[in-house]
Amino acid sequence: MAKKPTITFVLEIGCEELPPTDLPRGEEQLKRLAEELLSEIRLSCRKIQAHSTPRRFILILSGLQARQIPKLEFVLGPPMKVAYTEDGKPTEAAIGFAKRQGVSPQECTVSESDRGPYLAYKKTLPALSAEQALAEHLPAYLARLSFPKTMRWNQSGALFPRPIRWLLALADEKVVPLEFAGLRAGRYTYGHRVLTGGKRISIPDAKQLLPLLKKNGVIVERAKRVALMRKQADKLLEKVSGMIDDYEWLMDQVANTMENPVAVLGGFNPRHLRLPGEVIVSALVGYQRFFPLTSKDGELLPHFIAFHNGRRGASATILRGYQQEITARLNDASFFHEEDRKRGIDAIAEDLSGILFIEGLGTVAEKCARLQALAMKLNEELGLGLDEKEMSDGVRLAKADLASLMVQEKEFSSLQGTMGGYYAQDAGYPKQVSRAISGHYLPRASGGELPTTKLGRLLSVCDRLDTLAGCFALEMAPTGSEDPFALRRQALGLLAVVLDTRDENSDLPGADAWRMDMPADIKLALNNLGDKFPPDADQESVSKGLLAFISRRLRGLLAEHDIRYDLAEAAIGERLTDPAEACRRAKGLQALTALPDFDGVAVAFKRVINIVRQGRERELTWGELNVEGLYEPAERELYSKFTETQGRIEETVSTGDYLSAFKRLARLRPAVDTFFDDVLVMDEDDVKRSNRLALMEEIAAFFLSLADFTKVVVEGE
Amino acid sequence: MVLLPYDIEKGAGTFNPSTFFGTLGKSPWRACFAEPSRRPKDGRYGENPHRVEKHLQFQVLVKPSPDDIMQKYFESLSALGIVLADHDLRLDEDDWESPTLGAWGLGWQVLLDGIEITQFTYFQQMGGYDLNPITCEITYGVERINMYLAGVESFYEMEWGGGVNYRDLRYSDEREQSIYNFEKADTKVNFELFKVYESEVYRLLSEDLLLPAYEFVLKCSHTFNILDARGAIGVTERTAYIGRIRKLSRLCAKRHLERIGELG
Repeated sequence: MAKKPTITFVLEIGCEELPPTDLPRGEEQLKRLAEELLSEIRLSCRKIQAHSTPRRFILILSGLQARQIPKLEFVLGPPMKVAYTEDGKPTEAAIGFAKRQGVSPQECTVSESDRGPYLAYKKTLPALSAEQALAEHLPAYLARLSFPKTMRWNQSGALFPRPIRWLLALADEKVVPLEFAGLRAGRYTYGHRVLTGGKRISIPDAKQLLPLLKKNGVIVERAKRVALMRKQADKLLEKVSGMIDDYEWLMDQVANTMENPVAVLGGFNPRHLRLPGEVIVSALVGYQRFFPLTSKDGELLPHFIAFHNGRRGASATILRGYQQEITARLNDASFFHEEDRKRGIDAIAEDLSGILFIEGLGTVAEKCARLQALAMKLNEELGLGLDEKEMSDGVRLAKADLASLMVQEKEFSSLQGTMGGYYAQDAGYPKQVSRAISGHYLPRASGGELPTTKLGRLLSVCDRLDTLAGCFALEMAPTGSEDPFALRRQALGLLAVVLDTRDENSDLPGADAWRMDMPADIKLALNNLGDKFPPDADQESVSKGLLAFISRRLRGLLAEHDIRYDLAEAAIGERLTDPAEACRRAKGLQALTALPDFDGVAVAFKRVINIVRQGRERELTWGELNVEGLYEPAERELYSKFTETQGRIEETVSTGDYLSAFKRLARLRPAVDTFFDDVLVMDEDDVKRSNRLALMEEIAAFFLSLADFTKVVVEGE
Repeated sequence: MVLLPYDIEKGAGTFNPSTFFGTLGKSPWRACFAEPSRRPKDGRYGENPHRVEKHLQFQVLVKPSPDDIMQKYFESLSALGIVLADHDLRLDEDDWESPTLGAWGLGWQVLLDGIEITQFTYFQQMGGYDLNPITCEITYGVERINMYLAGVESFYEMEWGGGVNYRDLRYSDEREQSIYNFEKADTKVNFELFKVYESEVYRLLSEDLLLPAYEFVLKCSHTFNILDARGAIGVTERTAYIGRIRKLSRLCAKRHLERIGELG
């Protein structure tokens, strides 16, 4: 058999400069969509490639089958009984069916089915050429490309990260006239903006696109751009015996902002090296995406490597601009740093009384005063044994850098905490204090690093607790998507710190989790607000609202650790106390679901809890359990099994081994089941009923102290 | 339409009513104007070569945005005398947002050899309302571009004309404004002013006086910027103030759309 004819197809989506992170995202999707499309339109293809530069996405289909394989389709019409009269003449039904297929009834055939013979038509689907099929179907697939942030720019209403300005689509030398985003594809593309002056280039053949783009200054493959960057950078690094350390991500990002990167080696005045490393790195990387260089032993060098997208010959002029810019930035930073150090952190901290924390919650200085009281109490409650002097200095200075020139500058505002740590160290405070200051904003984002010192953790917890309590007291709890004070993040951070759990890959709870009493701590924080607590607010309901808010975050956290939602709810119970304990319970419950009769156990325990609730709803009253008054063998049996189990479980729980505890608890199921089979709790006899309800209550209370089984979702319930 | 600057302090040309109201609604709009823009926090006592409290923006607005607008922008730089082949022109992704105006758009900061000279934005929302057609805003940083053309390394060395340089014209302004913004602004007075301006917006809107109301939004915004520079507003509190101003902008945008009969 002769080799099937194949062609090469290229598509180029020409854009105004795309955001760097959208490039890999778009490439992956293009490839995947092309695969799906080809299978839908019955075209085989030897190789699918996708490339991207800031100004284009390119899809290349090589060895693409030139024409679809013809396909037969069987179209079923009316039953023969209806299609033909008894004397064999086609009826209206048959004529109509044939007409819709574009043929005469004579050209139709008969198809046998379970329900008798039917009129049918064997239709040959036309075998479209690859370019026809692509022109027809590709646009719908392109419309499925999705990006996190998109915009409109023309009347087509198309959404894309930045405007699309041209489309090129070629099947070998033929233009594929597809339409997308209000544009019609042609054979024209554009060269490198600077190197060719943005020249329009006509592409004679699909295979010529990449070579011609290369000739016009565009390196289409990212890997080639990165390799080029590395090669150039290595040469420059040799000159200053420098290293670029751990900036893989930045390399990729920079390669996504240029079509033809050129490396330059820049420098700055070594006097800026007196600045903390974080400041220099933030100035170089944050805005300019310049690469900081270090010596072989990790010290920052007064040099950087930058890449530009211009002419090699223009490097000197360009570098002059870069250095001028970075010098201005570092001059700013050095000025701030010197002024701040001159004043000293203690003096700076005094300015906190001039900075509003949140309207209604006083100044940052007032907040710090609250934190002093809160920290002292929690230190005691948690038995942290922190040095009081260190603790008090840590709290007083934790927020000081908010009044520093450096942190007040937007560009360096992300260094809050970090700068405070440095300034405290400069002022001679012990490491415990400076590390606590720099760590107390942690985690900065979900999954971020946690504070490493006890004092840092305590500050982090107190800070968040105070903000949450204050905002809830002033009715500034988040609503829907509005969370202006980022309280959700605050609550998640609080949990991460007390649980010592960084992200979904860390243990939950972590080895160094704190044992909290959330309702008590919330009360403490609310009381601590003093005169900032609105006189007309109800402490009880504020506290309930906040506890529920934190519980919801905890449920989310548990879900991230793959804990079933209903089990998380059951473990947290009616009222969250200690998050770490709740996590252990949730994990125990989750493990317990492996028991074959888990659902049965849950149902049995639910009955116990529910019957007590029913009793209360019916406003029945009962007193203490009278053991002597248990008549039926089933109730006696249940009681004795229960008391025996209770003691053992309490022991197991104290070791934190909830799975064993739950397993032991599960063994009560037969006794519970027999009890409900043999004994009527809601007996007409007041004495019997009361005593049985008392028994149920005692057992239910114990169950609830472990998990609220009524929350467990059981299939078929 | 070549327009004049609008005579109220503002942080950027975008606050000019011609931009704020011009982007809303369906009718085409093309305008350009120079706009003195005040950013109290950017003041450096006249000591930083590239950062000033008051700078000049040249703003170009085109609605609907034409297909070749980017090319036209590059041509405009060439027309100014910047030989593109001799420089690095970087278009850095910029998710532009003015939380106080309830506005956002996508575009770029354009960096000439690493120094930002232009903000290029396709507005998507203004005053909280989706825009259609889309307006393109090109904001040229006049000082930055001029410095380049003059071949000097500091704003203050630029000759502004007739032998008078930027230092002669602006230095004491920069120094004194910085002292005011960073050290002497009376926070109590400014907090009070903010409240007064804010209530004026509501009052004037209830009287259906849209432009006067909008002018007080601008005053709110500038007062907030002073308080912010003065360090009188905590990080957490900032968001709340911004939200208050955004609410005012939104009301103005709504009233404007009602007037032109295009409130969706």
